[in-house]
Amino acid sequence: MWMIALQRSLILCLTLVIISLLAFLVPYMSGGDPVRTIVQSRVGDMAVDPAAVEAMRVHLGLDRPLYVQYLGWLWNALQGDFGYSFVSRSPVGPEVARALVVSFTLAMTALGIALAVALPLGTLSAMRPGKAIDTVATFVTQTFVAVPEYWFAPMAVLVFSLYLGLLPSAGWEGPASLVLPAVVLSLRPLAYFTRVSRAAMMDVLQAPYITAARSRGLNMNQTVVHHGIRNGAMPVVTLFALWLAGLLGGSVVVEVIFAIPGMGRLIYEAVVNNDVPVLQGSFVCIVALSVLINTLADALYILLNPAVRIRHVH
Amino acid sequence: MIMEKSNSAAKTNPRPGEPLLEINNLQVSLPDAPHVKPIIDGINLRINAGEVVALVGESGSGKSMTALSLMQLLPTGLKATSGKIIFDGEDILAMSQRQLNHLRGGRIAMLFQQPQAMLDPTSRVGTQVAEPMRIHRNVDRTAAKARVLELLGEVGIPDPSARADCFSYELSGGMAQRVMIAAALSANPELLIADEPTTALDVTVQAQILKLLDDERRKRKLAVLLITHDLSIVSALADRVAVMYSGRIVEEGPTQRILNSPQHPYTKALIQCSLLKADKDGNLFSIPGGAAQARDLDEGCRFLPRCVTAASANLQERCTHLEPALDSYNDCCKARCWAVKPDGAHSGAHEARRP
Repeated sequence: MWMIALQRSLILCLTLVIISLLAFLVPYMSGGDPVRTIVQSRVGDMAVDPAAVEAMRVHLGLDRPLYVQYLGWLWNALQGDFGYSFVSRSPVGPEVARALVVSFTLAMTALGIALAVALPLGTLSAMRPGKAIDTVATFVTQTFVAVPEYWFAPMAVLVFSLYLGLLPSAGWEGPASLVLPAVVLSLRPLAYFTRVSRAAMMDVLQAPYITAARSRGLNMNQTVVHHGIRNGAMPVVTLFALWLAGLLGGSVVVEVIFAIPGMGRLIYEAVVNNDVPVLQGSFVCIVALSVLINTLADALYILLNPAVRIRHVH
Repeated sequence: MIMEKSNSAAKTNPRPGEPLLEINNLQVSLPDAPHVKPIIDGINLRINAGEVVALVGESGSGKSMTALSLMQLLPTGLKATSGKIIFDGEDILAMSQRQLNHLRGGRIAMLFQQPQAMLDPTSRVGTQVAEPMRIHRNVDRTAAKARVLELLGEVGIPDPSARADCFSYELSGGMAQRVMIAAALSANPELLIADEPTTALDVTVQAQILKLLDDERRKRKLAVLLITHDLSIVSALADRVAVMYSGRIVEEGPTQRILNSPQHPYTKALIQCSLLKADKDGNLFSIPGGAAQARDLDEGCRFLPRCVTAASANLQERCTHLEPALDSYNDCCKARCWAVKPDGAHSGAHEARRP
C-alpha cells in the first residue's frame, strides 16, 4: 500500500517537472517576439526602435540562455512567484488564482448539472433500451455533442436574457450570472456522461449479483438503487475528473462569450497579447491542478469501489 | 383462477408431504428465434413440502434454466412459453411482478453456483443478508442488524459482527456461499433452490456446505430443489431424483431406487461415470458423443445417438422414429425409454405420444 503511494508520488513529481518545462517553453514556440510586442504596445502607432527592444530584452532578463531563464523561473514558481504580466504589469500568481477560482466554480457547477441529469438519464435508458426514454436520450445527447457552444451560448442569451429577461447575459456578479454559462457548458459533458453511464449500467444490469438481488425479492427499482448505480457510476467518476481538468482552461468559448474572468479568457487574452509570464503561469497551474484532480479521482474511485482497497480478512 | 392478491397469509402453508410446487408441462424457449428448439421441452416435476428433490444432468440439459424459470428470472430472450408452475396453489407464470417480488426471497429463495459473483462488490455483506427480511418481513433496521449477526453465526461464519461489514471480495468462496445461505434463509422461505451450490468450491469446503444445507433444511422443514451433476451429493441429500437430458426429464423416482437400479441408459451411464472406475487400459468411463445436437433431432429418442441399449435390445427402428413417453415403472419410478417395461403395459399396445 505505502509502496504504491510512494511510487505514485514519484511519478507525480516527475510529471510536474516535465509539465513545468513544457509550460515554460510553449509560449516561445508560438512564434513572434514578445519583447517587440511589449515595446510596440508602449509606443502606439510609431515605429519601434530596435535599440529600445534590446534594452527591454535585457531589462526583462530575456537575453540570458534559456536554461538559466527556466531554472530561475522554476525556482520563483516553486515559491508561488510567477513573475509580472507584460501587459498589466501586475503579479501573475494572484491573477491566475483569481481566474482559477472563477473557472473552477463554473466548471464544477456545469459538471454538477451534467452529472445530476446524466446519471438518472443513462440509468433509465439502460433499464429500458430501445424504449421512448432511450430514444429521447440518444437524440438529445447526439445534439449536444454535435452542436457547438458558440451556437448554444448566443441562443441561450437570446431566449433567457433578451426575450424573457430572466437572467443576465454576461458578466460575473452573483449566482444568477452563473446559470446561463454553466448550463451551456454542461451540455457536452452531459451528453458524454449519459452515454457512458448508460453503457456501464447495461453491463451492470447483466451482472450475476443483479440476478441474485432480484432473487431476494428486490424489485427492479430497488435493485438499481441499491446494487446498480454505485457500480455503474464508477466510469463516470473517472470521466468527471477528466472533464473537470479539461474545463479549467478549456471553457474559452463560453468564458469569452459570457465575459467571465476565468482561466479560459485569461489564456485567450495572454495569447493575443503574447503575454509570456501569464501563459507560463496559467499552463503550469492548470496542468498541476489536473494532475491533482486525477489523483483525487483515483481516491474517490477507491471510496466507491471497495474491491480496489487492499485489505484482506482471512 | 389466479387470485389477484396473494391470500397466503390467511391459509396455512402446505404441510410436509403435501405438494408445494408442481411444474406442469413447462416449456422454455426463445420466442425471438422460432427455429431454435425449446431449451426446456415439457417437463413435469413435483416437490412436496419439506422434501429434497435433486435435478441431475450434464451441462446444457436445462437444469439451471428450470431453476431460473421457477423464479421468473430467465436471461433476456428466454421465456416460459407454455405450461404451469404451481406454487402453493398459484401459477407462478401468471403472477404479476408485485406477486413475484413477494415470492422471490420471501417464499422461494435461491443459491447459485458462483457465490462471490452473486454478491454486489460495492455493498456490505450484512446489508445483502438483511434485504429479504427487511423487504418481506418488515423487520426494522436495528432488529435486522441483530438478526443478520444471528444468521451469520448460524451458518458457521466466525466473528459475525466483523464479517457483516465485509465486502464480497474479502470472503473465500466457502464463506461467500455461507453468506448466500444466510441471505436465502433471511426471510424464512418454504422452498430453497440450490443451483450447483458447491460446484465452484474446493472439496473439503463442499462437504461443509452440504452438511450446513442439510442441517438447515431439516431444522426449518425446507423443501429443496437441488441442482447438481454430482451423484454422491444426490445420494447424500435427496429424497427423490429427476434426471434431465436435453431439456427433458428421462428418469425420475426415489433416490435410492434410481441410484441402485437405474433403468434409463443415460442414468446408467451417469452412474457409471461417477464411479470413477478405470478400465484395464486405465481410461475412465465416459459417455460417448455429446448432447449438443440432441435437441435438433426431429424424431425418435434424443439419447439414441449415444445409447448402447438400443442396439443390444434390438429397438433401433422404434427408437429412431418414435420418442418414448415418461412412463412409470415398478410403481415408483418413471423412465423415458422403450427398453423399460412400463406398469400395466401389454406388448405392442404402448404407443408414443409424440410422433
